Amino acid sequence: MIPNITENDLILYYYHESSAEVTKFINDQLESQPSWSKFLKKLDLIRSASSSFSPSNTSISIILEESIQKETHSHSI
Amino acid sequence: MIADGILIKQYLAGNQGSFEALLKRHKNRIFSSIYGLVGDRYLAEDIFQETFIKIIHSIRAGKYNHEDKFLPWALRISRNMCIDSIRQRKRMPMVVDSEGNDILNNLGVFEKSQEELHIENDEISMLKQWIRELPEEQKEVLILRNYADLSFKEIAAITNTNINTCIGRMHYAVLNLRKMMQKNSVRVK
Repeated sequence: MIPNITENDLILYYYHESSAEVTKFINDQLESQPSWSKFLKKLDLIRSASSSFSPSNTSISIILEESIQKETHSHSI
Repeated sequence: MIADGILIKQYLAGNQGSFEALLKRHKNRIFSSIYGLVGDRYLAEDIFQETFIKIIHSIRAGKYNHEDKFLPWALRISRNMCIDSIRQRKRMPMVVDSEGNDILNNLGVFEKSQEELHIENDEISMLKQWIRELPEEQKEVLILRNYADLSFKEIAAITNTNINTCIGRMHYAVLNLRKMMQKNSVRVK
């Protein structure tokens, strides 16, 4: 039976969370479904806009200091 | 790769390096999620620090019992802090100068970082801005899926919803962004 593929199915497919059956079906039909490819490209574009950010070195130092201080503090009790 | 649960046990046994490894492993995903939600670099740094200080206290108090599910647990803590902070900011009265400008902006408290100020007139930079403007619930799912790389099941657990709701919110986010893209290309052309 041919599943009715929705945009929600395509979202799950894009993030590798769809079932093996749906994944295979989409893989097989992708070339003949330009609207699916277009939607997946949009997801890709949105994902590429979600770039990663790093915390400052100051934040890292404060956290590491806190983790050490607590250790010292607990030993001194 | 040593599992998160093992690193936490080693840290509790006195191995400081294990905590550093845990922090190094997850810092960018947690920070990016916080930054994405609050949209302010300085505030994100504060929440990031507070999140990890709470994590340290919880671990040392023996309250960590999530085995290798460290990231969803940490993101739940940071999410709650983001929500509190957003609520607090909404309640905060705006203090204006004689010309009616927000004094906090003039003091540079909520100033944008160089990263944000770098204006790139391309689709990606516009998309970044539109993501910030999405309704909170849609933005949250998109950020937790793309920045933190959580599954929809994990996002559902953190946000106290179900998988279908999360996928639905993601879908609306994509539809909204698609609408903005179409509208913008019409305007540009």
